[in-house]
Amino acid sequence: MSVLICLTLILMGLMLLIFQKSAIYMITGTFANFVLFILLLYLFSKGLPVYPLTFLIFLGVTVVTLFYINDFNQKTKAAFLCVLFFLVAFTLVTLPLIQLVKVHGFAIEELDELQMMDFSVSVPFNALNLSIILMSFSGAVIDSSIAVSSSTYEIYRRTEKLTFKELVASSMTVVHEILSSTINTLLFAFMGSSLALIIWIQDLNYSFLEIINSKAFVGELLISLLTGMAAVIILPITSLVSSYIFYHQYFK
Amino acid sequence: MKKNLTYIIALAAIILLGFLIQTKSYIFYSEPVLRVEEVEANASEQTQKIKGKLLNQKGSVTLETTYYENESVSPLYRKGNQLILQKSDNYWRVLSMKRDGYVFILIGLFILIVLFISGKRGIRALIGLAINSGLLLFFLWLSQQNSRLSLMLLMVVFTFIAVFVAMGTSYGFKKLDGRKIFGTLVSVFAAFLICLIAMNLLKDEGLRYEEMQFITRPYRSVFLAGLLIGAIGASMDNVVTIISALDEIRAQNEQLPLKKLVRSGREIAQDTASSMINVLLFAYLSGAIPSVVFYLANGWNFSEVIGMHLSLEILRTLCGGFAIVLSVPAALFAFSLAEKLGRRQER
Repeated sequence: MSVLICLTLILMGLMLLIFQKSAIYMITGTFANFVLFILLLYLFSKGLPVYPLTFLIFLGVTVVTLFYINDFNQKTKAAFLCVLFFLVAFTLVTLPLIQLVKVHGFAIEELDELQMMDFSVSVPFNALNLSIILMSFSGAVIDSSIAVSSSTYEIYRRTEKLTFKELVASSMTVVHEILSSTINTLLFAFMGSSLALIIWIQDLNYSFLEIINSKAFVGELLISLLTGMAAVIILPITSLVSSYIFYHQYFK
Repeated sequence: MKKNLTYIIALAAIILLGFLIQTKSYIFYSEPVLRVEEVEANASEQTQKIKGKLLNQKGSVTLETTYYENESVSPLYRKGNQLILQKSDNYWRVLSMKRDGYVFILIGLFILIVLFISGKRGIRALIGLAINSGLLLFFLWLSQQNSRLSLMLLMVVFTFIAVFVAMGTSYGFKKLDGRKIFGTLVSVFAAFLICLIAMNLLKDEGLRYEEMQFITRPYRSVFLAGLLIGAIGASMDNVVTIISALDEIRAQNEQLPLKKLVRSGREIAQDTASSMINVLLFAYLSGAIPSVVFYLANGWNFSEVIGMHLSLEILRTLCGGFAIVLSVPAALFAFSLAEKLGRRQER
């Protein structure tokens, strides 16, 4: 039996054991997200336009994670709005930087293994680079957003007669709590996945100037830092927007 | 308002300085740096002809380099871009595009945003991040210098120290909480061992190492080391959330029996666990997008390519998933153990 199937079964068993009924939503929801990702790859290979497709799948992932795995309520509706607004704003702001660094396509270090391939096939590498970044932070942004929105909701419900400003202030304390743990989660994940590249750079004695100009390293750094920024910037946005929504009781 | 003004000035300074580095830092380079002045792209011959002036040496250079319309290997260079060159046998070659100023802007923006949103807490998080990155480099350097020290062993030691550092910088070294550290370490190593045992028993069936890039050491050990480290953050986050929430409940109600506390802990974890797994899922898988599309365009079979490029990333996600799920019993166990020990001491 394949290692992946075996471990997936064990993980599902453990989730059922620990979380009981709600594990079913987690498992099916995560699986649905995975299927959405595979669908994205499949449709890319059919030549569908990259930007609209990425946005569409991103929305699909958001809907599944917020409304299916969590629930359809005020908290998730507020989070959904924030994620949507953020996605558009962040893309517009960072697109120029992504265009400037030009890290799309393969790095020189990767070319040896690909000698058998035809490099002239029609694959929009430049656009795909944005797709990597958006999909990479999709999970983190949704996670940050729902965390802040539900804490803000709890604060609003439990403490009566808060003014709008006070509500935002207490919600911001939650933001500070979440911020460092989010940064750590992403840091270790990216450390783990780029370990091979770091060892490569060390073993081949790259100089400092070589490192900070190389496509391979700058590409990894761009994805990691933009994902980190996205997961951090969504926090105060959600804090403000969800406070506003709950305070004025828009979704009641 | 004054605070905001400082940040706006800092933002402007970072961007200005970044562009200054990007355009002027060629004096620090020993390799020749070229400023592109004219580019003639020829898609049918798959080359681009670049004319430009050398910046840190005298003279101008004309050279040809590969160019595919999809920019799979090198981008279409534009006027004003700076390229780092190398001369071998009277023949100029592009080593890489110059990106140092943009890297500066990227890092500067990240730091500025974290500071703007979270002030002092942000500084602590950044310091933790810097120390842990430095430690990782140090341990990797150790393994490079002493080939007798196994990479795996060094990464196990790194895991212990990294958890201490991350907890200490985020929540204060004076308030280091043994329960949280214990819970994190237990869940990370348990998750890792489950994966390792399954991999050994099933002889890595279904795992495709050949698509691992950048390999200078035995690939399996590099992958395993990464697997362990990747799980740390997620499990730490979960353990801290659960134990802090339980402390809060305990402070409000000292008589509440442990069983009820355990149930609350499980409910808190429910909300965070699944979205954390999604965080890892997308952070790991998305890097494979261009390679998968490229292989498919080269006529490879869909399921073959998916297996080739995603198997290791899925395994990373699963290992992180184990760490997240196991952090629930680990945190509850650490919490109740500390409570029992505390009671015994009181008697």
